[in-house]
Amino acid sequence: MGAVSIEQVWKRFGPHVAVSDLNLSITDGEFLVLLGPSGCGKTTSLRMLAGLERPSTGVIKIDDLVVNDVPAGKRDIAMVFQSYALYPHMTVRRNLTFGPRIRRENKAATERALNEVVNVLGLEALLERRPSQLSGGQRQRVALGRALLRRPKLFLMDEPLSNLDAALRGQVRAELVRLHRQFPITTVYVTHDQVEAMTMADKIAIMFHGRLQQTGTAQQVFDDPDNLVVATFVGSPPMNTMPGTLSADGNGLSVACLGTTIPLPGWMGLRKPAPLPQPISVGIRPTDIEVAAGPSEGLISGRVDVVEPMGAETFLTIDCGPQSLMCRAPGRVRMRAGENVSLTLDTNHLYAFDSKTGDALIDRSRWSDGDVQRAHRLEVTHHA
Amino acid sequence: MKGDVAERPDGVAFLLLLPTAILLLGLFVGPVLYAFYLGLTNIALMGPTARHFHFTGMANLHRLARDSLFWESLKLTAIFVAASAIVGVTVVGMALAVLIQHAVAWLRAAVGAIVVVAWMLPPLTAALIWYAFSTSGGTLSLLGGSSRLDVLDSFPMTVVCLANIWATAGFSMLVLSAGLRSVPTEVLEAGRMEGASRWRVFCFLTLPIMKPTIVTNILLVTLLSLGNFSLIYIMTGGGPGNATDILPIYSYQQALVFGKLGYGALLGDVVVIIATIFAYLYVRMSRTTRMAAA
Repeated sequence: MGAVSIEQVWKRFGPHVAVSDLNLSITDGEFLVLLGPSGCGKTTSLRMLAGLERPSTGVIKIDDLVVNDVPAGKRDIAMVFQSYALYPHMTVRRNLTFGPRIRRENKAATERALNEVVNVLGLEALLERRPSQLSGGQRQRVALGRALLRRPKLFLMDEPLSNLDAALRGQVRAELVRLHRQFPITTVYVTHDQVEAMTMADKIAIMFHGRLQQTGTAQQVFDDPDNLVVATFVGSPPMNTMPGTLSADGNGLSVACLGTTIPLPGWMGLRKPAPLPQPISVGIRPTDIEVAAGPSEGLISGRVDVVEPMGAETFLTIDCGPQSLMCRAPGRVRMRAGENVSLTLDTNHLYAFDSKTGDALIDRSRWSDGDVQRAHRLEVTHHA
Repeated sequence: MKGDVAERPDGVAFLLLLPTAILLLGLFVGPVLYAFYLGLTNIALMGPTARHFHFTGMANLHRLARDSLFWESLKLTAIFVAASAIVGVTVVGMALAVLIQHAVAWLRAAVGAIVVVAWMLPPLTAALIWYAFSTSGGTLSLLGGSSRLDVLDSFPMTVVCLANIWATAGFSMLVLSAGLRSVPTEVLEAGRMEGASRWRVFCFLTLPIMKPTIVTNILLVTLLSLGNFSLIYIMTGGGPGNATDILPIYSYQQALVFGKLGYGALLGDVVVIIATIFAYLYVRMSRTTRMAAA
């Protein structure tokens, strides 16, 4: 078992608030990713869970037991550090078995566990080497092995892939997912890399400025962000945002931006009652904009500013008056900087955020695939 | 490794090294070699052999081998150096370094400053402070309730060792503090997460990781203590009796008090040989440390 509950936890370092009012529950066996930019409090949260930092206020429970006063070594938690934190003066074998020796565990059982971990991670050839004689990827595997050997209630990982090169990172990511399937131990994984978060997590918790912004599956935080911060952090390249106005008439909601008024699909409603019209930040992802060559009557027009070919796709930065939008076009698109284009926005994927608080305004809970057919690419009408 | 592909030194390099080389040869290597020669002669401070001395072959060496005071002095040197270098450095220096690492800022600054001042004091001042502290009528005797209490006279070796530790602990603290700071925090935290107590983390992780620093420091303080003439000379002059008569002092007494310059030089040579062995170990140690760090 390894269920975690973090309740109203604050952490202050002097006047600096690192984590404010964190509430988070993790079910047994879940793979939770704490995602956020550096300095957002995610590592501090992980360290509090590990017992390496004490919360200033609030309660941390593991399996319904308050662990605030339980020292790190007694929490039955294994941690993989960003630097791997291997013991430099010990061989790989001693590194792996240091914990069991310190805890005076049964030697035969340790040997069995060691053999299993060594097999799973392919460490046979490395057992008698020292950390300084290993490559980054090998050190990473030893650090994982050391954590696995313990069969803990809880696995904590602090940016474990950030010191690996890109190719290896992809490999280890897949390996971690496979290991978690093989040993379904509750895992809390801290990263600033959204690709890691999206690909590995059962649940993502996004933190910013010491506050938890949203928790949900990868698809939930991508499709229905609770606020502007989450919307612009998740997704690459990030969501375009621009000033606009949200209003309502007899036919439903509509958004005015880029010099046009865009009626929103009928399934969209307000999350909570709000005075309309009101100024908002309009959001749309680069993947939800269709770019066509040449100006076209009734469509938003713009001019190509930057072309970034990526092979399978091409990213275009397009100037639309004062606003600049990032759009995704097919890989073999032939567009040059300076060319005039027209844009079609997928209104099913338009977002509206309160321009002061950044909170999402639109209730997207009634969205379904069926609506995509009906509401697909409503034509926009130009203001006179 | 980059150090191995050094270019072959050319003429300019030799030219630039020449002034240092001349100074070293003239003022260091020359006198040392001359002292080795004098150690095998019957030169004296006064009398006929002061001017007309000659090479006496193994005579001084035979005398050395039978000189019970020399062997006693060698033993005292070993005690003095071991007590200072091992206890002083490893225990006191490390304790101070750990204390200072965990202390609040002002305490850290205060202790650091005091200990470093003790190290910076001229040996003469340090020696006089400890003399005044421990002799009869000194602070310690007043604390002990009797002005006739002479701790320096009763436990001379202990007191001079303490004085040497007091004077060199600051140096060790500085070196070991730097070593402590270079131990990666995450490694120690990993140990704590695995259930090791603070004491075990210190013994099984911190100390082994710091081993190169500790060994280097022991060797350095050994060299410093081995050549420490002034502290003991001022405090006890090698006495009472021969209780603190370490080799540098015994050498001085033979050469300049009893006037046997040749024999005194030979005793000095013994110190030079011992120091050379430690210096060699130190250089080799620091080289392997650098290589491990690279």
